[in-house]
Amino acid sequence: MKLKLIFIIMFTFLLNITHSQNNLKDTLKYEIIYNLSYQENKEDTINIKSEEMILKISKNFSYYISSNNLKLRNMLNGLQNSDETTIIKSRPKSKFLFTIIKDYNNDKIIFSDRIGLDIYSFEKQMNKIDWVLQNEEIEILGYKCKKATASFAGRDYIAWYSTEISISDGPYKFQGLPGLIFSIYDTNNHYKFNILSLKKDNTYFDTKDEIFNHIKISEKEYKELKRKYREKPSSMLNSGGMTFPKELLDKGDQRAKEKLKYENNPLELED
Amino acid sequence: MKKILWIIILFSNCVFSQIVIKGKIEDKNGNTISKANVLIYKKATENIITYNISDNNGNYSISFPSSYEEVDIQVRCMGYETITETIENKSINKNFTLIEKVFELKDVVVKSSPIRQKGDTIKYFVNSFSKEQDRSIGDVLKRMPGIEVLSDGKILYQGRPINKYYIEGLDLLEGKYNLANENLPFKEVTQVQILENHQPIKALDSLKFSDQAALNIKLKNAYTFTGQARLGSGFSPLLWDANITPMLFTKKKQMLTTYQANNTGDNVASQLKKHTIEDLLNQFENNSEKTDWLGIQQLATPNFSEKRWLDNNIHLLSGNYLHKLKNDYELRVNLSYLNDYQQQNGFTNTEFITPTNTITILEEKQNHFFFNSLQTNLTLQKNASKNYFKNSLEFQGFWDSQRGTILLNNQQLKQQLSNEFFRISNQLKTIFPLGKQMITLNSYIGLNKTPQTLNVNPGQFENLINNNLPYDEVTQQVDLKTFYTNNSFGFTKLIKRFSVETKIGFQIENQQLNSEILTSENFNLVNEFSNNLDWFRSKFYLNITTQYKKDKWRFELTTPINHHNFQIKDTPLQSSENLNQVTFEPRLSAIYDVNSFWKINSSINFTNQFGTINQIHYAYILQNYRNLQRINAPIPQITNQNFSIGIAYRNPIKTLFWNVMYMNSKSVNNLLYQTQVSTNGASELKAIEQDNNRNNHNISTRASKYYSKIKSNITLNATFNLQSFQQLLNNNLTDIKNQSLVVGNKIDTDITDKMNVEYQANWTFSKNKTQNQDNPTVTQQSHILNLNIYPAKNQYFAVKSEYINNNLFTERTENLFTDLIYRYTISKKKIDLEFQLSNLFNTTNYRTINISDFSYVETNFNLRPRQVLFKIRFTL
Repeated sequence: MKLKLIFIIMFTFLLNITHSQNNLKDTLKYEIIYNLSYQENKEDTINIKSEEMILKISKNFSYYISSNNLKLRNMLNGLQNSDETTIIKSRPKSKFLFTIIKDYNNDKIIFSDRIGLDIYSFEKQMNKIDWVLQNEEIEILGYKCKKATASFAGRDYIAWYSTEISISDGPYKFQGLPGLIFSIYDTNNHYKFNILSLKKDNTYFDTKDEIFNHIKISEKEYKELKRKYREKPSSMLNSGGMTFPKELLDKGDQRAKEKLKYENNPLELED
Repeated sequence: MKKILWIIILFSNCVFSQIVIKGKIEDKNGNTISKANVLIYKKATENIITYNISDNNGNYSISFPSSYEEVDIQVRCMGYETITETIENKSINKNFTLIEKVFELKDVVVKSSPIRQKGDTIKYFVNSFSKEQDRSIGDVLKRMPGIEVLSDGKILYQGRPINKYYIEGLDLLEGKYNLANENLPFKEVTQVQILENHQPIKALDSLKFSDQAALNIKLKNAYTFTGQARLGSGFSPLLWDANITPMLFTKKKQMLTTYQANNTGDNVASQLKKHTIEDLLNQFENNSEKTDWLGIQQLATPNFSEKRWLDNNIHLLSGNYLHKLKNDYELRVNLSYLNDYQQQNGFTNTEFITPTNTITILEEKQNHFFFNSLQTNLTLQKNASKNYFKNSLEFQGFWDSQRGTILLNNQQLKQQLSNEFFRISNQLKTIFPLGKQMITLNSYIGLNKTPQTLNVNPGQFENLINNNLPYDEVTQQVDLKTFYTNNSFGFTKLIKRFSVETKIGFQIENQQLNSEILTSENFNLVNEFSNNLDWFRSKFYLNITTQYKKDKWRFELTTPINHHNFQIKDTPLQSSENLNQVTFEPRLSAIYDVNSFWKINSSINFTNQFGTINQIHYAYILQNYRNLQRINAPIPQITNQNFSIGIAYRNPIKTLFWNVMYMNSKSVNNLLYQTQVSTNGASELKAIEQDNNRNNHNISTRASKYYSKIKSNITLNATFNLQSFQQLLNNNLTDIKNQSLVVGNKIDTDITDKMNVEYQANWTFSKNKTQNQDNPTVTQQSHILNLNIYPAKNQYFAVKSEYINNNLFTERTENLFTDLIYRYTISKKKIDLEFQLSNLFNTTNYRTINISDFSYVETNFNLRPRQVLFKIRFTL
């Protein structure tokens, strides 16, 4: 009787699952690595951090992720199919936990971000960036690059792109120039992307693996969630079963809040 | 003329300004090409006027104002040849056909990372991350990219806990690295290294992938001496609290010592306890924890924080020393000495309920506990690429004693106990290759000795011991000698999605129990009062653990087969027992992740438990002044069957979390125990061979939600427990049912960024049913109200209150405790000042009531009075 009940419960749940995501997949063509150096706090000009960011490009889409984040994800995937007997409770974290898939054909981006313990995804139209082309030229990594300027999310940017690589893409949400962006930085020098390497990549990439486990939400819900997280980080950490000591949570909250207060210089200053 | 010029200018601007060139881009087979760049250049220059990118249908459209006669149009697309043409500057439709061409991308790399990366090692230079206000290396670590320090001191790298914290490549403190991280000034450190994918056991390096990182601290100087101190004092009575932790690091030697002392109720002895799960399992498996056979009559301790009632005077000295030897060998010595004097005052009112009458005992107790123990550990470790070897030799000595005075119905009774315990043990772990397999070998050998003596004055149990005549003193001596060994070897195999771990081993336990009761009148009591027990137990085991993981499912099946052998003999009493049995104790667990929000887990297992030596002794032992026990029974054997299922729902979007868990355990015990209470309150335990069942149901649930609008987190929880079993009460088999329900709630509100209020309440309702007769419900309540204020970054103020209300039958007790804490940090000098006022309302007495199947015990416990404490913390 007991078992029967369990099976009924399980079946009900099984029926709830639907797999219906037309995902992008293809053999990759190029892998570009950028070094991102950024200033977390508006006033604190000494504390400049940096991280490597990867842009993987295929014919119809591109995938943008922090290099450390990618490494950790690969480790975790490897782990799931390997011998490791210990169940790992804590999950990867890097400064940039989001990923961006740019769908060239539909002019869409799929933005995914980790908040607390889960990854959330939403889709939106690709940002239209009004680039102003300039005639200045410099050479980066042996490629002739031209200058372009634009405003994006409250900052003015200078970009260097090369028409020799006619991929209209770049780091983060930047795209739309008649060539690949080699370098882009805002006029305050708070966010600087510089190309580190450029190479062919023939691995197969399925975005399903990337967004399979994500919780699909709307952009509005995402912003709400992000706001809640900033307000009280520990409210996201609730695992349901475990209770954490109050003082520990408070301390953590206080510290996280302080950290978030310090990190007052995001790339996007406005929506 | 001027006018005409203006007209021309305007005219040309209107008519010629907007030129539109559009068309389609295809390959030679007529397939459209999207994402091709179409660029318009000033003729014969590199200056781009404008551009467009072809859409999904290969269409492009460029509009631009131009005063040029001709422009260059260029079409570029990866994998195709670039076309450049010069066209007239007018609106036209222009299609292009691109020819495929292999594009040779120049692979180029520039390397310029500010963090020097070398293989799997990342180096951070401390100077470039440190700031004015930093003090310890932990403060700087927090700022390094990828590193995170949690509030409890745990260090994460890329979100994962580090597996080792080395100082100059040496692992002095193992899991207790916080000691160093918090106390080592950053000025002594030159570099922090992260060893990615670090496998601490070198022999497994190429075989077992590790995704964890280790952290290594490189020191500036070959010789570093540093540390931290905390001093505190207060009054009523005079209080003190000290903690001095100096440390020394050189290339070959590392040392960390700590001296801690207080009489404020802070039981620092808990720091000596081992915290990793592996250690705890070992302790349980190896029987290495101190056991006390005898005791003085204690007071039931209150069920709230120790700091409110513990009357102590503790001194703890602990030293850790590590020395690097040749050939990858390391020698580590850990040494701890503990001295504590604790006092307990209060009285108990005990009522023994028997079918015929009720026996009441009123005891006023004054207890003194003396703890005096030494623990040493000598570890030799070799961590080489071919094999791993770790040998720990441990010695523990407890020279503990207790003294108790009881005023029993206005008669004084003295108890004097010496409860010593000694243990010496050796543990060996080695990993070595055998063909392609890595074999793990574990071996433990231990010797314990428990010489304990209890004196009670005046003599008790005169009806049994002294022909019904009162006498002066009774002495109980117990001496237990134990030899125990556990040896096993194991290996793991991977077969596709299965991982199979095999472990084979054996345990041998040989114990000798000698005990004797002596009286002041008669030194030669009959055999009934002396045990000479020989206990031999062996177990051979084969344990196979299979794991299977696929997508959302995870299974684990354990199938241990054990062979048990028991030989128990008491020659003088001519009693003996033997048991030979094979047991199969499978366990199956499954976890299923339904989707991002729902998760189900379930497990079922069967186990067998056998009794230990303190559950079989044929002659009497006086455990405490009013408990005389002998257990002449077969080996206790319990078979358990456990089942559990849990469902969890987590929706972080709505910040709603809920879970429910159901557990059921059924057990069959081959023995029934009976406690016989004689008229003077002395009790005797007897075992009767009769199968009996115990059944337990437990269901618990918890839900929490965060309300963003009112910045509050609300939690509700409930647990229901139902237990049924049988017991012998004065020769009658009685069915007993216990029911308990706990409901609670918690509200946590951030009133402002700097103020937080927390309210927590719990109600417990317990009910007991004996032989279809309901006993009244007992209600217990506890309420906690905490107010936390952070007036400034370096200040903290808190008011903490706890209210406890117990409603037992007709009795009602109430207690209120309030504490104040204020902390001020002098940031520049990194000095913390703290002021504590505990027990504001000076609640000095706490009454608890315990009800067991045959007794009702009311305890009055003297608490710590109101006290004030001032503390200061600084770097050495």
